[in-house]
Amino acid sequence: MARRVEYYFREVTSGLRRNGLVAFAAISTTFIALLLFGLALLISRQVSLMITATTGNVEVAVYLSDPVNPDTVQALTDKLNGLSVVANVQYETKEEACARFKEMFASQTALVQNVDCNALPASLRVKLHDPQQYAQVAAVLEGQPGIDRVVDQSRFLDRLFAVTRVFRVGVLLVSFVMLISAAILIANTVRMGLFARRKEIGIMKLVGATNWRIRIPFLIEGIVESLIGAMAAILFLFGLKVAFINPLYGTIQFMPWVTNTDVVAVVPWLVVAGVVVAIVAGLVGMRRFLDV
Amino acid sequence: MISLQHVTKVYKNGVVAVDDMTVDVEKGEFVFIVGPSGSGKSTVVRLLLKEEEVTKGQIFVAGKNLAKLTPWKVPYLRRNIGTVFQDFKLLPDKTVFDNVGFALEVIGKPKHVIDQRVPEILDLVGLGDKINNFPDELSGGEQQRVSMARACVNRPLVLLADEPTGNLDPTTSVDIMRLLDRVNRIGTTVVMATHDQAIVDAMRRRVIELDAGRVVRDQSRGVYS
Repeated sequence: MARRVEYYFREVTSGLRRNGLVAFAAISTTFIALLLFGLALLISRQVSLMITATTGNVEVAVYLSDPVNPDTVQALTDKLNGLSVVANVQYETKEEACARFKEMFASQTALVQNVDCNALPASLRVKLHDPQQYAQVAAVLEGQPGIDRVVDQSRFLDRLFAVTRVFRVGVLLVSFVMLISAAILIANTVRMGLFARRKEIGIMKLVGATNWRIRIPFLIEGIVESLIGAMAAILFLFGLKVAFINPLYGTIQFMPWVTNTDVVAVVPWLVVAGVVVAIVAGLVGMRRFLDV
Repeated sequence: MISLQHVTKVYKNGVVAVDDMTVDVEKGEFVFIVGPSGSGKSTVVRLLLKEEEVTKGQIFVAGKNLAKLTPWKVPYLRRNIGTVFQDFKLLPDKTVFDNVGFALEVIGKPKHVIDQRVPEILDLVGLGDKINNFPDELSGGEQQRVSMARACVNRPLVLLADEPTGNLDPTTSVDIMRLLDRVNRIGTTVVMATHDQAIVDAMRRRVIELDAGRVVRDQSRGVYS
């Protein structure tokens, strides 16, 4: 086993050295592709954080005036549940609102410490089957006692989605195109490696080396190139986060930002994407050499 | 050991390289395949290695029907067949030791086996003192002996030699023939394709003569023509 690992290691390193320039092209393209891919994931994460922060994931928020009367809550809940457009109603107490707030802004301790939980209103959080039917809900709640304010959040969400979708889809698209070029470049390094060593491979086949014995070093070579690109992309993402997001923690408050944990969460995706691209590219690159 | 039953090989371009060839080679036999260039000698070698598929007929090597051999089993067939070619097929950037050891390494033999067998076989072919030289530092005859060592280091049942003396002068050729004879005497079946008349006449072994892909003569203790 150790012998086999040593054999593959030697083959892979000598392969990378031999076509250094092409390998570098493959690595840098993978880097850019995976960087954009990670960026798209983080943007999605940021958008969902912003949505949670601003709307709590409901379409209609019914803020109740203080002090809250349990009978009013019950009466309003029943009324809302009686409407066919309402999917579900949830009562959020002041304490729950406070806990959600603290969790959301966990990265901004100053904010959490300085906000008095009493200032956060209790609310009924309403999900609708069809957000367009907000008018019906508003009409029913009109003039009911104990209500401070009714907010239709779906309109805000629509606008937010529209803006971020363009951005997210754009970045994903570019990263997809880059991933394809990375795959082509990796396939090319694999093919060049095979071509440079066709004599050696001929002899290997002649003395009875199995196909996988011959192919695996080339496959690993592609994976190593792609993983180096992935590693660089991950480091760069952390760098971007530290350079651009960290300063926001202090300045733009009342808005949660992606944390280190979020960046760590995209790491496995980048690694998996890199490895998959490398394997597919490697197999495509050696397709012509698959025959015995 | 080797059996060809009505074997015909037609290449894609329509050339009939082997035409209805039926030959049986017993274990431990030494067989010359002779004939002019283009008579199908090399094709027979390629068919036995399953580098080419037969068009018609059946081939058995070491008890295995080649037509029924799945692609992933072909490497295991080839581990039973040593091969020697006219152009030696040595790797110029590897030493003599590594050229021979390579053959064992790529079939997954452990290092201690390689370290033991390679010097052993190189001694046997008379290159014990050239173990760390590179191929271009050796004469043609020495290079062919390295290639013989590589073919035999895994103790194959069959040795296929395709014009092994084609690039060598007569004296050196005799050395190579002595080696082949020795390999044969320890029980290896040897099949040698050649058009070297002097060697065939001197050895007096079984001769199969091909002409345009057909067997025109199969004679034990024969001469070239």
